[in-house]
Amino acid sequence: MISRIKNNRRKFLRRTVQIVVILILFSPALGYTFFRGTLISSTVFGIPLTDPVAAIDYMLAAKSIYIPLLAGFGIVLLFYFVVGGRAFCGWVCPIWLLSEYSAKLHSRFRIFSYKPNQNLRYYLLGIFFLLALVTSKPVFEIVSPIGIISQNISMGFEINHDVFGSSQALESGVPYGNIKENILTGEVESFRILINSSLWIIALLFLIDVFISKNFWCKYVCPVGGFYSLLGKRSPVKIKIDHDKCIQCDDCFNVCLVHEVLNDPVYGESDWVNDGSCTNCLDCIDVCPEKALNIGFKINRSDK
Amino acid sequence: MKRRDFIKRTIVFGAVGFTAGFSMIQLAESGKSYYFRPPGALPEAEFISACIKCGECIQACPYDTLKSGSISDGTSSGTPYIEFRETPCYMCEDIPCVAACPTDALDHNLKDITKASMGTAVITDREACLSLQGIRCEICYRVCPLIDKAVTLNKYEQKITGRHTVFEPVIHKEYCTGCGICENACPLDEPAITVLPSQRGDKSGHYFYLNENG
Repeated sequence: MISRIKNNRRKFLRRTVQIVVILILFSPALGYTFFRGTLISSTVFGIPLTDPVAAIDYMLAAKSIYIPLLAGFGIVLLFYFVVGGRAFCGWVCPIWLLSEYSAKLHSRFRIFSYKPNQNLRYYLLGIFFLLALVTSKPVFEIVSPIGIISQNISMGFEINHDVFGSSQALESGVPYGNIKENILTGEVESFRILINSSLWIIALLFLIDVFISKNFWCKYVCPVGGFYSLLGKRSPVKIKIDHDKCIQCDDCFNVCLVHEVLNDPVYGESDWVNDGSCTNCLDCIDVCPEKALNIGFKINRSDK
Repeated sequence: MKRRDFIKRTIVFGAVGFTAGFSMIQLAESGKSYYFRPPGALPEAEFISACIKCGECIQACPYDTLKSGSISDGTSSGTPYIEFRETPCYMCEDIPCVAACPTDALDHNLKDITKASMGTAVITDREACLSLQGIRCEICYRVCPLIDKAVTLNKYEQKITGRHTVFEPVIHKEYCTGCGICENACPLDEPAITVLPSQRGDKSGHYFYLNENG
């Protein structure tokens, strides 16, 4: 166990971050107040954070700009520009965590492996922006699995919201609540919620991931990932390859969920993983037997 | 990629995406015909445009009043709404839900909660209402946060005995915020007082008042 952690230090760190993110999302359901919101928009210790795609969707749909929103929008944009756009996917998004495990299951249970065009997410990003503009509704936010799963986590999968939430109201002395009723019917209530829960979208994506197309949502569809890919193309934190050490053993290809990004650095000329699709998950660094890969700052734009 | 290929792909993906999107919206028209929104919410259509379904208001509410729409609520999935019969709005003075909204789906200019307009309470079942039967109920009047403004009592003789008084609760739309505390508190199994959307009257949104200018 310990040697496994030692050999996969970066992966261990990343898993820790992913789990901490989920715990933070869950914290409001436990009664902590330092964090509020979801991955669409949140307030952490008073600092606003807003998903850039949601913010743009809002501006297109409502056709107005709410100035304080730009603060959260800017902070997130700047942060992910610096650490590499899709670091959001690799380190934060719970859907990606799910899709990492479904990718493992896919290799065993796949029916077939459908591989759409990788540029699909960019088209979808545009389509969703266009839809927001035309229909005046932030359409992506309605179906976004990121929003759905983070809202479900933050409400303790809604069961907490309905049953324990009311008992908190009892303690705080709120008059005239239907408290008794809710506690009595709590189980039935949560069953009903389970049936028409938005979590079905997540379950559907998981099944597609496992049986039909590896990493379908995260790799080909998710417009948020597409947006961060565009953002991360020029970001300074990137994986660097040492061509002298690399023996082209393909270990990194096997571990990487978006292994197309490694084609150029491993078999081509470039010294950096330049493709914006790279999530900076650092798994390739852990797995490399020759320590040819490393994380670095690509300051000079003219580098290959 | 050839330019022709690019155009072809754009058209195909665009068409598929648009069809999918529009059918999604058609499907999404499901859900309730009316949702009661948090205080300060914009008119429904504008609210749906501006709400990014982040759930911040839902978590900011100290009473767990706000619920989140699920997938069966269509375009309202993930948006906040109130079920008055389960938990009404207790009208916090600092209005934490509005303060939490990252967009202007909830109007940040709303500083005084008594100016909120989530709906208007109406006696919807005059035959069931205990007060109107001459029984001393008046719970809706007592619990109203704007007692004697939003709800007043209209007293008149009770015809059955001829020696008692009917205390009829009368709601005044100009003060009622639609917080739903009365609906929540109504002791009947089906509430005789219900919060309804504020926009009623004739199509222009006006009422005809006697003895009023204009």
